[in-house]
Formats: sequence, structure tokens, C-alpha cells
Amino acid sequence: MKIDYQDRIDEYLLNRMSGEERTAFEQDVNHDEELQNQLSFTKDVQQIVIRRNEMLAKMKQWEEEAMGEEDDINVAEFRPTGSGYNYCPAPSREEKRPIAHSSSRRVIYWLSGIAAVFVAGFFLFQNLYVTDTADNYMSSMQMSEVTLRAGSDNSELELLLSQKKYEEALHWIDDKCSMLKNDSVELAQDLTKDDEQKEYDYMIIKDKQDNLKWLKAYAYLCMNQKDMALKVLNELRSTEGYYQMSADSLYNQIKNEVE
Amino acid sequence: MATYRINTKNYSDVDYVVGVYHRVSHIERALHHHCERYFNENYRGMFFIGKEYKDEIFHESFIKLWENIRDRKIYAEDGLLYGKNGKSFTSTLTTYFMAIARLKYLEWAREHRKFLNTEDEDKVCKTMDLELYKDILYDESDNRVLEIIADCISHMSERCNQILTMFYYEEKTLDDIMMELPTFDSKNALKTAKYKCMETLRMSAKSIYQQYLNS
Repeated sequence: MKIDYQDRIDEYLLNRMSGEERTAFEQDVNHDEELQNQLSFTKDVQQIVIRRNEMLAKMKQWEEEAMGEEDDINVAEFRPTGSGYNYCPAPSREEKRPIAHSSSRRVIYWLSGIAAVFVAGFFLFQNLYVTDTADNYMSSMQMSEVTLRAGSDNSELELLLSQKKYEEALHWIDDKCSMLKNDSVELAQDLTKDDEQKEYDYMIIKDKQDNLKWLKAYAYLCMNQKDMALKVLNELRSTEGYYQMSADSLYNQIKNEVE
Repeated sequence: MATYRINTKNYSDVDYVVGVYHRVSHIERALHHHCERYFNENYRGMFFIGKEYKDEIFHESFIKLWENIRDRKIYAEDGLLYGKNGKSFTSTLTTYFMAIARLKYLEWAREHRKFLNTEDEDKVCKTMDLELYKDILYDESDNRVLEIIADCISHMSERCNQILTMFYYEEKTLDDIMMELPTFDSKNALKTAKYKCMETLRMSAKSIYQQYLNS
């Protein structure tokens, strides 16, 4: 291959020669075998480069079009047979067709949607309204096994509270408080126990009373009776005991919100 | 290369070959999609390769299949497919396509040795290229020189590919090419680079052709 020839060959193949130049070049080609071979090779290269780039351009175009049609996914119409790479056609499937929506059907869908939002909202807000107060203070109330310090004695109360039977729970607490009050009176009259023993039993009773008061406050808050809850909490915070600090904190929190 | 599915109709292998030979655009596209889908689903069973190179191999393989149909190396007659030397086709078009893809992968792997597994390395190193190629890529037609040149072009360096594409496909002048490839500081440098690309191409094609004749 001669570099000198290449310029003329390219000019010839790209039609950049005048008529006279073309004729002269063709005459040279007829008399020069090397030029002839080089022309032939360049012609082949030109042909292949053009064809290859046309194909690549088409493929690029198809792939870009496919990007646009991405949503229009079709199911596979072929499936592997399991032997080698032979394929057999799968049963034809129905084409996906767009579902026709009439205007009246659309209206029904809209109305159903709106109604569903209202119904769901009603139950949601009703629930929030009932439990709102208690939920706000739940972290402060610490309704846990630790809170229910009376243990198995208060299992019935725990059940009532969990079932949201707050009225019943308050009655139960009042009964229990009355019993504890009687226990306290009886203890004072008991002559068999020494002072130290009595002091210990008083502490136990006081502890149980405080626990019941704490649960009472909780029940009032669940019923959104903040004033009653504040009254009970005030009693709790005024005397030394397990719930004193918690009751004081909660009392102030509710008080601030009320004001 | 797109890896999604589009809504193109499927045709029989004979329909594909007839349509592509007659340059029916929508069948060309359908065949591309058909092969692309098959390739994406199956290439991992034949070779491990990253997405970027996978796309390159797919494109090169599809061009080869396309050229083979256009050049009537594969053709349809009386509802049957025929291949090399007029023998009836013994596989599906996709199987044939994947065989081309396998060869294109081996070619690619030879240029990127680190990606080869032992089995492939044996094939690349111990087998003459032509022995791998002649069953599928070359036949006894008069166009074999053209085919060999086409293969060599598909393996040209990126720079040579750019220059020859701009010069012969886009028909740009040397001045225009210099504007787009500013690494060339003079027209003569560009002219020399183009000439070297052509010379390398010619030498490679000549070497493969000699091997072909000797075999």
C-alpha cells in the first residue's frame, strides 16, 4: 500500500474529483496493478464501514424506541424446553388491552374513594379522640408491670383497663381503696403487733393505695376527665411515696396544657 | 443495549430470514428484539461478562447475523432454511446467533485475557482462529475477503474506528475530522494515522486470508 495513492483513491471513492481527474485516475488504475489492488481494498473498507455504521445506527434507534415502549411490556411468547437451547412456542396469550372506563364508572370510583376516606377517617378520629388524653401521657404513666405493683391483686383491674371499661375500673378501685382503709383502721386497733410491725404494714397499705390512685388517675385521663385526674395526682404528689415524683411531673404537664 | 421487553411480534425463523433479506424494516427490528431477548436470557450460561462488554458482543454478533442473512449465507427456500454451502439449517436462528456470540466472546476474550476462564483460554490459545470461524463465519462464497475485512474492522482500535467512520461513513473532510479530534495537530498527522489504520487492517485481513487458504 502506498500512502501517495491513498489520497487519490479516497478522492475518487468520495466523488471529490472532477470529470477529467476521474478519467485520468481510471486510466492509471488500468495500468497499475498495485493501485488497482489498493483501490479494491479501500472500496471494500468503505463499503463495510458504511454498512456496519448503518446497522449500528439502526440498532441504536431500535433500542431508543424500546426505551420509549418500556411500559408496553409484552409477555414472553417463548419458553425453554429444558434441552439445550431449543425453544418451542408457548400457547398464545391474550394481548393486554386497556380497560375502558366510562365516565359514570369513573364517578362511582371517585365517590367510593371519597366515602372510604371518610369512613376510615371517622374510625381513626373517634379512636384518637377517646384515647387521645391517655396516649399523650402514656409515657409518663408507665403502665407496665412495674406500675401495676400490686401484682396479681390488680389483675382484674388491669383487665378492665385493657378493655377500656374505665367506669367499672373506677368502681373497682374505690372498693379496693375502701377495703384498704378498713385494713388501716383494723391495723391501728390491733394490739398484737408491735410498732415496728405496724409501721411496715402501714407502708404496704400506703403503697397499695398509691398504686390504686395512680391507676385511678390513668382511668380518669382515659375518660378525658382531667380535673379528676389532677385531683388524684395532687394527692399522690403531696405525700411521700413511690409515685410522688411521677405524679408531680404529670400533674404539672397536664396543668400547663390546661392553662 | 436495552434489557427490557417491547411489544414486537414474533415470526418464524423463515419469516425473519426472508424479511431481513428483503430489508423489511419492522422484521429487522423484530429479529433484533428476538435475538436480544434470547441473548439476555441465555448468555450467562455461555460466558461471564460485564454489561458494557455484553452489549458490545451482542451488537457485533447481531451485525454478523444480519450480514450473513443479507449476503445469503443463510437463506430460505420452499419454507426451509439453508446455511453453509446450501446445507439445510440444523438449528434455530437463535442457536445459530448464540454460536456467533460465542465466537465474538472468544475474540473479545483474546483481547482481554484476564477475563478468560481456563476452558476458554485453551480454546483461544490452542485453536487457530480460522478453525473456530470457518464453520460459522466463513464459507466458500466469493465474499470471504469482504467478511474477513469486516471482522477485522470490528476489532479495530477505537481511534481507527473513529477516523474511518468519520471519513468513509460520515464523509467528512480531513479538516472537519481535525476539528472533532483535536489531538491531531496537522492534516499530515491525521492522514498518516488514517493510512496506518488502513495498513494494519489490510495486513490483518491478509494474514487471516492466508490462513484460510492454507487450511
